[in-house]
Amino acid sequence: MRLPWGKLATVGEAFLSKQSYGIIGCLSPEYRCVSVPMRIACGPGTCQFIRLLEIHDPDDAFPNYSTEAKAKRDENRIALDAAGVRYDSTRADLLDADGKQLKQLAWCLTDHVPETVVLDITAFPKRYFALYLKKLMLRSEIQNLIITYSVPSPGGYSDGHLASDPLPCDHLPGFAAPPPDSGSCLLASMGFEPLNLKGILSMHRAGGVTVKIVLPFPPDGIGIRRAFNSLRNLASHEAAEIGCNTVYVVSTWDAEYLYRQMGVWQQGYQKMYLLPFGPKPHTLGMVLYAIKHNCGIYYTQPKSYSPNYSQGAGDSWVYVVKWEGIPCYERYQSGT
Amino acid sequence: MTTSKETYRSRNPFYNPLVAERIRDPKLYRKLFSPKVLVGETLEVFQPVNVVLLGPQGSGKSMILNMIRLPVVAEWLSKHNTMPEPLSSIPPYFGLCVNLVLCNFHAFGRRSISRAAKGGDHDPGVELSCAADFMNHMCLKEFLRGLELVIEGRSPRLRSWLGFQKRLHPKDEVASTIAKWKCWFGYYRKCTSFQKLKAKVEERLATWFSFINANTDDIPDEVWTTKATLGEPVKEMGKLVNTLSTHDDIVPLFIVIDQYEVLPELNPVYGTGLQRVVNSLLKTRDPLVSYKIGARTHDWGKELRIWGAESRIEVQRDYVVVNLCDSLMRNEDAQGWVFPDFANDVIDKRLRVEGGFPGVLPGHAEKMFGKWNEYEEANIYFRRHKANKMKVLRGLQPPAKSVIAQLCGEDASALDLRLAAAWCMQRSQRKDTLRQILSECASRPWSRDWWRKERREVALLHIASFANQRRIYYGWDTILYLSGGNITCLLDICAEVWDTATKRGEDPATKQPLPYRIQTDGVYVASEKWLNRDRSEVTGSGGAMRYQALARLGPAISDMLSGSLAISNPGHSGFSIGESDFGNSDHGKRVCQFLERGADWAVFEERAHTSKHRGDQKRRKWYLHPLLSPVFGIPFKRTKEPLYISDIDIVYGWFFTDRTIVFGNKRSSVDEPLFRSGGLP
Repeated sequence: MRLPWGKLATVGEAFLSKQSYGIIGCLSPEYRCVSVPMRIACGPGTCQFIRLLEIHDPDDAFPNYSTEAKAKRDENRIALDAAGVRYDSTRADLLDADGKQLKQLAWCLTDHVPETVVLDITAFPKRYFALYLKKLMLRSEIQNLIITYSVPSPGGYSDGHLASDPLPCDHLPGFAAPPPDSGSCLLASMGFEPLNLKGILSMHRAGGVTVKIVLPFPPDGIGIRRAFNSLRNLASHEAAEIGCNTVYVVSTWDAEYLYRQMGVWQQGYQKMYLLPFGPKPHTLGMVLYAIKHNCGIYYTQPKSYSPNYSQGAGDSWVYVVKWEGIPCYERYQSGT
Repeated sequence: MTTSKETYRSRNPFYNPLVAERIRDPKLYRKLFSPKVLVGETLEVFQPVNVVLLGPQGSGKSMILNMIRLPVVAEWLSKHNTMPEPLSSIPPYFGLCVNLVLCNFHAFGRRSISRAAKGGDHDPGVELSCAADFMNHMCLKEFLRGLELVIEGRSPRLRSWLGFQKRLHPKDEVASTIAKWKCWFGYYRKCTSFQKLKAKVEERLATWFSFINANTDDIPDEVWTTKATLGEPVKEMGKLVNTLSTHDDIVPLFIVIDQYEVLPELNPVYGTGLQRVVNSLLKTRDPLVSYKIGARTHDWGKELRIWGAESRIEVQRDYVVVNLCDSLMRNEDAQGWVFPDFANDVIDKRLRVEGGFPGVLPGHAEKMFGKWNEYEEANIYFRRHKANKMKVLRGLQPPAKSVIAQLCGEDASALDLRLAAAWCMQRSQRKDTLRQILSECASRPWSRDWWRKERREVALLHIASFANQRRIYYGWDTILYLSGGNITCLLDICAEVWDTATKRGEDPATKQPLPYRIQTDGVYVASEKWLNRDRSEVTGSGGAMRYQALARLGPAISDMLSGSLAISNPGHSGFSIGESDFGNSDHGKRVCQFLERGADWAVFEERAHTSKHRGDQKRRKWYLHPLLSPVFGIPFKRTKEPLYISDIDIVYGWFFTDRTIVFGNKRSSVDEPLFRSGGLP
């Protein structure tokens, strides 16, 4: 596994400067969703197109934030227009079935499939970007695939619930797997919202299945506290199963390290099942691992996202997951 | 018992409620399972008929159905040489289990096979026929697992129970027989050994997975042209079991279908279609094969049509319904209530197995929580400042106060005083004069059994409030009431009480009974968690919305009851709605769905209600689940009469608008003219 990653200004510049590429992203109520299109549309290389999905919560979501979400999305649209960013957008629904999601991906690549694609996962729900990442990784015409992710401005996450009204546990589209047997390992990444992770563990943990937890280590105290609160909530009824030796701390941005560690953690287990409740870069590491090792990924999809999920935009990060047709998980460092 | 306090804390025997993940471990299941729940009609689950087992979340459906799985039966027989007592007279059965979500049956239709793989128009019939094929082969996979367990000889007692003879039927020979079944259309024709057959089943399932996961856009012809007719392979399995068994009587094949109710939530477009596929299995009515479906009470019955036709499966004809609520929820007279025995047994087993206290004797739970007494509870509130108990007469005029104090005596319980005050206030509301009221006091009418029984709960809440305290909860009966017949609630309460005890340095395994403060604090934590669980853990059924509504309704009920010092309507901790009101309008339907889902998730408690008005329509009454009572400060015991709702829009307003909830006719007794300071009629 070799996954070049770093900040957009450095790594992104190095990989994109000579490329002609298309950007696939999401036009959401969060301001940070416009960050990558604004930064690289006129930046390194040649941007052929920007295709953005406007993903809407279902009508029966509770709380229903559709009015506020629309207003915020319109503000972002105005921001893109003001910055002179040209883009196409289309409506999608959060709970669209796999077939419909794939249609939308096909729309993103209508007319022309570029050699280089930038998939901006900043505001993409996991159930979309995991499937898109898999399909783009497996598509041979796409030689280079670059993932981008923008963080909010410091302290930019809302204090309240970021997401609510979760659905029952289900696999992410594209990542179904047979039920876990004894000798399997469940790896859960923790985030701000537990979203019934406890319920998933209950459902999938057959006798003999081991649970491991990944805790992100974000560079601010509030984030750490929220992640630990989620862990405490989980551990409060799983005391016998969750202890110091089953909780691992991984830097929030380090998808590559997480991927490598997963290989270590899986040793001794026949199968690994992934529960990505943590930050997007952790989910990225998990999805890459699942593509390579054919793992199941399970999630309790929230139906309602707070329109105030985050404020502002901070750094954008870049992960080069496929280059010259070779996926990052097929690249090996010399000597390994 | 030498276990340290630290060990008690880290090894709380009541954590990990008996939920699905733990009961898949047959050894643990055997140790924790309480056969006390297998009484009366729950035994019907083990009869060769299609059964739909209903009950709210956490009531123990999975626990009962798990007893059908062969690994569990094998474990039981290997340890005890017989099935648990209630099942010892039940004929043997060959049981297997299919969890529809874990095996990804629910994902069919999300990606159109007819369009992607066959390049045609989208055809729902094709999607469901693929799902049916997947179901057939998933059943075969589970069947082979069961056969392996029986034939391979790992469990000779199971083999003997089923009447199988290993030497007569070598495994590979059985596999060859299965491979030749016509229902497979030749798909397994090359499978001459058990291992090859198993591998081929996996290969077929993997083909469907591959398509579902968008790894491929194609379904190989080998699969496409050998799609099996729904239910046919299962019939063959039923016949094979009876060929292999030497028993004279039929050995039925039982198939447990799990997670049936979530199909529409997880697959909005095809969910009900997939349910119709399952319904079709029930319609086959094969004497050798029976299906067992567990479902939350109100989730069953929304889609009863079979696949490909408009006919429906019919209760008593195609299946029977077993409702766990009937056995586990307390009736008004508590006759035939099996929950106390069941609860006692579950707690004993928990202490012995999970807690590692082998010396625990039957009935330990009762001693751990002790006995509750109404006078004892009432006196606790004023234990330190006994004179303050006269506060409970607040609202009465001095003459009335002195008469009651004199009648009840110096050592009177705060409960008697409060009930006496309430009685006087009630008479005042009826416009009786002070003279009339005081003259009737001599016969102590507040001591009459029914009058007192109906008001005792609210009176205790008032007393706690007058003492500036929250209500105290302790005693085995109280814990049983608070559990509402739900075994998960009981274990949650026990877990929190145990945790509180160990934090306070008490030894919960030996201290009998645990101090009331510890029990009370544990109950409040469990109550708070039960409320929050609905918001954060109840998925896909409006838990978040329900939480918001409960956060308004609970305090409104509490305000009404605490403000009514006359306790004129002690039953107004719940409300009653006429059956026809639910169906007459969109608002009624939404309210009905909201309440039924709440009952399914053990947030509301539903009971049939006989109206107090002659000739009135059929009604249903609703209460908050008893475990939510502590957190909202409302009575957990039900008394007559609930609040009669005459206009369904009132209830609609509670749940679906932001309007302030006024529960009932809010009228404070202290506002009555007779009892205002200085006021005499």
